[in-house]
Amino acid sequence: MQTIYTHIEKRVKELGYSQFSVQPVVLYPVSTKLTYEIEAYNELYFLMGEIPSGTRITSDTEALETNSSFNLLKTKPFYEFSGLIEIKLPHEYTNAIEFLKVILQ
Amino acid sequence: MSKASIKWKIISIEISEENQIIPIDFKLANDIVKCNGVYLSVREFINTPQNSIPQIGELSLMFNAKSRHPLHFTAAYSKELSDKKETLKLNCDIEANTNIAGFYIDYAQMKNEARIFQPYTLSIYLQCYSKEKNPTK
Repeated sequence: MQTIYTHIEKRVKELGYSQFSVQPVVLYPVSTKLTYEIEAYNELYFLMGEIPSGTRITSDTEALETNSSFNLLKTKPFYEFSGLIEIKLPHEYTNAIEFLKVILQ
Repeated sequence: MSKASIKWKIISIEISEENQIIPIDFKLANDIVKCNGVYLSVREFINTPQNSIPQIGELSLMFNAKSRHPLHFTAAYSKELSDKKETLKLNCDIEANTNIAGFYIDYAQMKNEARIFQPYTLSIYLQCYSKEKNPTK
């Protein structure tokens, strides 16, 4: 099975970069706020954790809306977002939303 | 010796719900070497109160294992027939055995007078070039 790190190495090479660095990004939603934006220009964000059903994550390169059967481990190997990322939560949610940020160099 | 010939590739997307997100994953034939342009068209006549809607959704297309991202813009709808079918320029060389990937997001604008969403099919016409060998004499 392909791990996230071998996948990142492959993607970085495909995009024509030779070097990169990786760091985790954890979004802690505030109970009153349902929409978040992340500026990920020249970066890749990989969704790593679970998100509630009905969440929409859109970016310049990937768009995702989850439903009740969404399972990050089964539906698609990796969701890769870049550019302006917008996260819309369907309801109040206070669990952490985890990404792995890849900075292309 | 080889020469290139134009081939149109059509990707059809069916939008059945408002605000729907549709992933695109389309494999081009191995003989395609370049995609030069794209044209978008809504296949059906949609019963909307407006004659045209400037933004019905957002299309993002990436080529060559997502290493080229030449297209990210909004699609429009018009009831008026036009002879002008100009393509948006892509000018993208295609690597063999790679997919076209991306997504379409509906903007929930295709509604009738009662404000009920009208399903539609968006056709993406890709103007591509294939490499063809000259027949041997």
